[in-house]
Amino acid sequence: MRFVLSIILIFCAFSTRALELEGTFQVGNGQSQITVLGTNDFERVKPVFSRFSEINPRYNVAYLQASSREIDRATKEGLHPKIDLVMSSAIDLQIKAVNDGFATRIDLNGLLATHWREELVQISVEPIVSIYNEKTNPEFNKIKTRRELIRSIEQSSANLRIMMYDPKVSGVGYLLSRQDELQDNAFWSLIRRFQTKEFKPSCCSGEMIDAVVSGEAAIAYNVIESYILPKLNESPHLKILRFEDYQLAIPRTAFVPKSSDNPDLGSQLVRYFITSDAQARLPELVRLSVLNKQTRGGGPTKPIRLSPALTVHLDPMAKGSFFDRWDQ
Amino acid sequence: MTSNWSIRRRLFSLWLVMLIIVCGAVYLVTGTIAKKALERGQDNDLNAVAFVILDSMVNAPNGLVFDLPYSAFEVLAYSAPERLFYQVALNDKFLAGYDDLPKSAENASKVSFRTALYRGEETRFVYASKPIKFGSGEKIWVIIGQTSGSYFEFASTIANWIAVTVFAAFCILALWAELSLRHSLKPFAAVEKDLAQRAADDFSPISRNTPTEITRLVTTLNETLGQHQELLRQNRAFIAEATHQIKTPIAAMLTAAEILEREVADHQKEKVHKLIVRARYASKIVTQLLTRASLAYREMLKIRENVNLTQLAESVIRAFDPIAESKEIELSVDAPSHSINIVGDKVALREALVCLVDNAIRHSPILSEVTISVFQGEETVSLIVSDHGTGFTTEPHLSIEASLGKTENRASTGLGLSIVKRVAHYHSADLILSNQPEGGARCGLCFRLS
Repeated sequence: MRFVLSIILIFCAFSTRALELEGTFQVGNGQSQITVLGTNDFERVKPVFSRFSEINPRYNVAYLQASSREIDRATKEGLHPKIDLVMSSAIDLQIKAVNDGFATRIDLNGLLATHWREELVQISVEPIVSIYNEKTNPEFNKIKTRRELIRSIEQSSANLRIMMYDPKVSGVGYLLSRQDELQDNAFWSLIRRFQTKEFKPSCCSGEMIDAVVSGEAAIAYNVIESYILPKLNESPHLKILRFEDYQLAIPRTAFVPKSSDNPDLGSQLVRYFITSDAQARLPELVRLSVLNKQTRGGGPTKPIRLSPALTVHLDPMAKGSFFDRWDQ
Repeated sequence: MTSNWSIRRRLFSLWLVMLIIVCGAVYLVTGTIAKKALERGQDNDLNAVAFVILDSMVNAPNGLVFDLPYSAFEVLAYSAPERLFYQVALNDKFLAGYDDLPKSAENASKVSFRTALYRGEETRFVYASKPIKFGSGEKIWVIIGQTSGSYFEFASTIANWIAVTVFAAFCILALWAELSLRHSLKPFAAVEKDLAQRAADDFSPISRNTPTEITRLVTTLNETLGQHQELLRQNRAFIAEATHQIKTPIAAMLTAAEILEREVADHQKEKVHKLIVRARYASKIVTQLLTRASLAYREMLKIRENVNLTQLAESVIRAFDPIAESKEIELSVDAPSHSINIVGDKVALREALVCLVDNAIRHSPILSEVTISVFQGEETVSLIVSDHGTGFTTEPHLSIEASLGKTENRASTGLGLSIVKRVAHYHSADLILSNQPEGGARCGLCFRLS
């Protein structure tokens, strides 16, 4: 704990504004510390970090959990030099940070990886699915595509409660909606259909999953699949809807901040993270290999590409015109 | 360039200097050209995106509306892994994007480009503008920037490859030059071989078909050869004439002195006798000088023939018989029944043996013996002349060093031993000069058979 405490103290002392952390964790007993700032639940990445510090006994890993917005703010204001790696699923914010020059090159040593400029490396993925309650709405069993969903909602006389991430509140929600918009020109008619029913955008996965499990909501569109998994066993009526037209996936990425004291520490951890040894310690669903698997069911998985074009969606102007349309 | 460098080395160094200059120049030029070409392509892409934004502009009731086209940016992103920046502004009023992009160098033209350092990296910017409506002074400005790292890298890769190609081409040419050089130098080698193989007194002109470039050299060589031949001929004629011219008066003087010896009164006979001795001595020196000169010439000719030493010894003894008889000295050859042969110059060996026997007879007392021994050892053949005279009074080898008449104690010209030494040297033989335990000298040559 000594290491973590020292880290927190350092933060309080140096940061322009102290990071609002959701938790601090630490694994390994090595003398030199690799500090990771991330949005992941620690339990999710802990096996990877533990194994890393086992293989490299010189290191211990400190994990600072924060929201993606908090990480974005801290990055812009200047990260503390002790932070060696930033991991986040907010791919648009990650891309923007790299585009704005806050990252430094990660030496991949010839390892195969999906990356942008060798500065932002994809370390895991989060597949996106929709969920429904089979008991209350068995008609969704037959739905294969988004167009079928539009038609089904159109034909339904019931006042369905429909949930999805609120793009105005949730960064992930905005990101997914913009990707849907790019991917499928039926996106806006889907939203319009949703809006004819009891449409209830939500801030968080948990809320949406709970609502579907309890039968309160008929369907939740675009939910992170890995959050659903733990609930599947205890809720027999919770069903996953995998669209045949396409399935989105959000890449989780990592970059080494330019401000880092020792950029090699972060690089080392990233290099380990993309090995099959490390991937095997992640939940099967979020491993990079998921993208190449045909067994998952549903249509082709389209992970969001690591592209600087994502930054234009973050532009207040672009956001403004999107929400204008949303609210029409 | 050092003057003793070989032609190959000279050519190679010139070649290398040229190679370095050309490769460097090619690298710089192609690097610049490739960079310009790539920059042009990049400019076109940036320009296209800028105009997509400009063209999307709509004058809506609630103000200017324009689109930031994701797919256009995506095309840029696919073209190279570069960072992208953009800005939309109405005149000087910032509307969207990055508000700290570098300003355009010239504000007037519709489209301009510039490269500037932005956020720590060389970035290419396009500045495009359009009036918001026809005739309006208000202009909407779009700036699109893209970092150039990978473009520069690609340009330098192209330059590298071309420089390497030029280098390889040069190496192939150098190899070809080496082969042609070898081929062109062949006539020189042939002339050299011709000169090396010919005998020392062969002054005939080099008569081969030579390339025009070396005809002059061959002509000059032939002229020099002719001059040398003439010089040698004159030299020979001079020696022959000089010897003859000197010998004849000395012989006449000797005869006159001998006649005079008989006619003068007794108390003067002693002086006349000295005159005779001196005249004989002079005659001998002339003979031996001639011998030495002719030996030097023979040495140059490198004559090599089979010489039967036993026969040689016998023929020399026959030549000395009259003199030996007058001094009542017995000459004999001590040789095995089979003949002993060595390879050498017969005439030179004979001269050496003559000198040795002459010396031996001169220093032998009346009624003594002079023996020429020829015998073969395991690896050597020896030719030894032994007498029972006074032997060497000083260290034997010093007797040679003190040449030309200084060894008066043996009343010789001194040239004799120096001739023997020369012949020994020419035949790579050891010169043996020693005193016998029972008195008398033992001189000769010891030839190595290998």
